[in-house]
Amino acid sequence: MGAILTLMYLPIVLVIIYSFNESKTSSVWTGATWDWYIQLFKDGSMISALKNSVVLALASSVSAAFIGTLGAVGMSKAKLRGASAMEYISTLPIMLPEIILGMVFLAFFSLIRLPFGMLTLIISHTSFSIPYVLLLVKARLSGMDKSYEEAARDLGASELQAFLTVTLPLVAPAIVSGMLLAIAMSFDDVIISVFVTGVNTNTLPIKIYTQIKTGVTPKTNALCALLFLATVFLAILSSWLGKSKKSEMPPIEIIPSQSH
Amino acid sequence: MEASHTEPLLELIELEKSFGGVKVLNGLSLAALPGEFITLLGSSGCGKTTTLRIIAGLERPDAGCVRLEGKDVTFAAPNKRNVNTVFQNYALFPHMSVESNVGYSLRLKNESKGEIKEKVSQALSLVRMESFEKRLPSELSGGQRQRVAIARAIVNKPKVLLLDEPLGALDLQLRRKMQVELKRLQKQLGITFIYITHDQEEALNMSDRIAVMRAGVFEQVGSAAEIYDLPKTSYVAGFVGSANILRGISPEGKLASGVASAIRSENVALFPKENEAFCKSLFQDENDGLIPGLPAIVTDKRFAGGMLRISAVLEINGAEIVSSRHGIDSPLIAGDKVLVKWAPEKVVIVEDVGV
Repeated sequence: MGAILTLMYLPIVLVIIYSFNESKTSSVWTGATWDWYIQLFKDGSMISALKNSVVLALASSVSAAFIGTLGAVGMSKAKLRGASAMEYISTLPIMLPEIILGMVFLAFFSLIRLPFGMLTLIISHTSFSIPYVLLLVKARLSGMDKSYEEAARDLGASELQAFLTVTLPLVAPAIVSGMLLAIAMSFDDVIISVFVTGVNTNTLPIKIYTQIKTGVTPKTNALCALLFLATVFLAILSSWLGKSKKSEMPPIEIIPSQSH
Repeated sequence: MEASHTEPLLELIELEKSFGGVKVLNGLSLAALPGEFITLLGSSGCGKTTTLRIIAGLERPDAGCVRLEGKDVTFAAPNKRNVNTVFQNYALFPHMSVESNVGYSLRLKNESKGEIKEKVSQALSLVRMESFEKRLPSELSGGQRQRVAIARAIVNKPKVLLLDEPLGALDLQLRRKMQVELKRLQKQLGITFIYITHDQEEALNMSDRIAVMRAGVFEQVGSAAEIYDLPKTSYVAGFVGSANILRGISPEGKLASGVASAIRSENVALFPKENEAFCKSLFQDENDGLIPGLPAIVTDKRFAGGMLRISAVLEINGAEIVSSRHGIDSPLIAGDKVLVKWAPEKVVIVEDVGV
């Protein structure tokens, strides 16, 4: 167990330590400094990449939360034939290799002549995030007693009112978990982004990826350290949201975050 | 019920409903008067809950109609009828405090904050839960949740309150206490209660009328006394009074084909042959009218419901008969040859429905 944890976290710890290294080459330790962090925030292209990534993550996770929740609610209500097939199809993108998804998006956007840039990024990130929200919300809904909604209707709520005042608050933790997962997925995506981004729109992962070709500087280390902290924060937030709700509902199972 | 000038508040007319080809309701009709306490009594799967859900609007009948105050509401949405339900599992909204749960229907009607607060505390005091306003449902006991569920359902003053086995999850002591309280509440509010249970004691204790349900129809609708003393069918006699159903035996203890006699176990005596004194001790002042003893063999003796229940098999046709007239002590043991006696006037001839 200790060995596994060491194997997993030692590289991360090293990256964080070396982000404070004075020396320009990452192999030799010459003294501690904040310089790389300062430089990082002075680097205009880095800041604009970060901004792009944040906008992309927020926009795509919000749209994915919206569409995924609607889909999950629709699927749980509709008694259509082939519902299980539809469910399977809608979650399939999780299994598809990203390189294929990237290709598909590239072909599709070219076909409809959509200019590559932020919009295409948002559309593609939304679409690969939807299944996560869908699965989480569906699990929550199927574990939920349908008498809550019936009680609301019985007490005078219209179908929409019952959904907004009872069902939605009860599935909200699942929606938020799904959104956090979507943010994490969007924030670390390189492959699909490379396919669908325009010439002028860099996201942070793409920026880091391209930097590797020109040589890793402690500035990259500093960036990775910050991203690591942000991820840890999201993970803690997500599990805290899953547990803190005082309710009769079982805590949400968070799908282990898998990198593509 | 005698002929009354009051119009029925709620009418169920020839309701039919099937689920996946299985008929659950089979032409069910009932008329409830304002302020009446009606219990739907039947074993599980007889269609009680489906009937309730149709009245609430949560289910649509395949045929027949539901009338509330003379208006056809068969296909009206649940929020468009003045009927509220206390669900079997209470269905309190887990993310809302007791106060918000009870005030839910008032908020939907956009009543003012002050008005809501007043009505909520009034409803909570009716069920004696005033001091729990800020609690979440998960912080309440089963009995307390039940009270909150009732408060939530009556706060809007519905014409009809539907209760789906509301006491089913409570222990016996609490159940008896809640029976009294529910009855008090119903009198106080003057609301028509449609109450579901499979517990005959509960039904007999609380109801103005009992509708005994089997296989999607009411076998008999009547007051507790009518149902208990004059059951119409073998099922009602067996379910409500735990009566012996003697098929092919007349009230006088003679073989009679096509007759089904119902006699409750407390009216049956078993005693050793040639021991009339024993028999006299069992029937203190009604000895004269007894039937001549039917020979039988004791098969079983056990305690149930605080008294001894002795089973025997009649020699005349092999039918089983149970007696609970022996108090808590009896010298009889399995294998004893006995005579069975009863008073013919205690026997009710019932329609044999096979169960």
